[in-house]
Amino acid sequence: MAEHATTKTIKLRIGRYRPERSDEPFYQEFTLPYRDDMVVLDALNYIKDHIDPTLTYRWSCRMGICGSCGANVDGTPRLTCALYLKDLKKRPVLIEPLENFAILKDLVVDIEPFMAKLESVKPYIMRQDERPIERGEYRQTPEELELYRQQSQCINCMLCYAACPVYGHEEKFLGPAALALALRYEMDTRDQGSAERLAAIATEHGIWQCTFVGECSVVCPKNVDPAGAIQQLKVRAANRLMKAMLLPLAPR
Amino acid sequence: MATETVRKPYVRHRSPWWWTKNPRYVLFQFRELSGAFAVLYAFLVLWQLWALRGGEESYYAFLVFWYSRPMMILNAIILGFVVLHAVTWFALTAKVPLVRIRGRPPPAPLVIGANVAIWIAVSVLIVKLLYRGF
Repeated sequence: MAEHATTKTIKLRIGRYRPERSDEPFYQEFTLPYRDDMVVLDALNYIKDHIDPTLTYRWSCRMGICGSCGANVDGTPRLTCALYLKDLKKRPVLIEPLENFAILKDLVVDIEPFMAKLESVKPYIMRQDERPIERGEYRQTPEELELYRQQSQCINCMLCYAACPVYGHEEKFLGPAALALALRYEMDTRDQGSAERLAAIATEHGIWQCTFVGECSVVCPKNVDPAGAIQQLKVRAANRLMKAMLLPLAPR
Repeated sequence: MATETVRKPYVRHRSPWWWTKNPRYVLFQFRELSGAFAVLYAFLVLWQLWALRGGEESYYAFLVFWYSRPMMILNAIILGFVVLHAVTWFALTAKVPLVRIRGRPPPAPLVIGANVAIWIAVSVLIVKLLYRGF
């Protein structure tokens, strides 16, 4: 790309943290050749290839499906592969690691707490009556698939956690993506583990900690609507509680 | 296999002014604050009842205070917050599709519109009941 005849340049201000050299993050500015068809990730790759090979960030697919390249761009969590520089008004463009996460190096944040949260919502089909394998798969109609298709679109990019002030305040909060994933299995007609799953998420640091700021759904690149998912889980959990109180002997 | 870690995670400090960075965070903070104004109004109404119980003179004194300029301003502010509280609550209802129309959740504008319409109808009914005969 360096060989392209171009006169335009762009300035980026990037949040950096080099744990082996310093105790504090800092900002570094880079000026590089610019074209209108560049996304933020292209600019980061240009810096790494031509200016500073130590710049560290995650990326993989470049097409908004792997969920690796999230960063705070001008203060908003975005997928850097899906954001054109021409659509950003401010100069220099400010690129920082995702908010609310511990920084490991430059734009790379610690995703391990997030992975543990995903696991904790029991994101798998739980059966009371396991069918023998000879009887084939558990079938669903297209309408039954439609019930949870939206929540199943999550790519675990963690933009919703970076946008969530509740998570910024309390790191124990299960958070938007993990709870949307819980609803995905709650709505699955093959699943019979609702009681167990709701017990895991209808807790102080689960659905009840959400105050419905709604920003998770605004930044979600896959229209998963985690904010809506959590409110639906609240209704399901409240219904279950009321039924248990009013009809203590009824099967659940 | 045991691996040695050289990680030194850096945890950022959040400014108490975090909510000023995004207009939607500001709206959220105001929505949370609106609950306090709703409680304040409840106490004002209780105070009114307490004044009424004290007889004609005490209630008249209350009314003089109630119609004073600072109280009118306070009531206007409370009205603003309570309307914000109600509107944001109705906006939330669209997120929880309890009914399905032809297998699909109804569109958000329909849910919010229906809720707001019922809210206005009930409010008009209450006002009519209160002022009947005036």
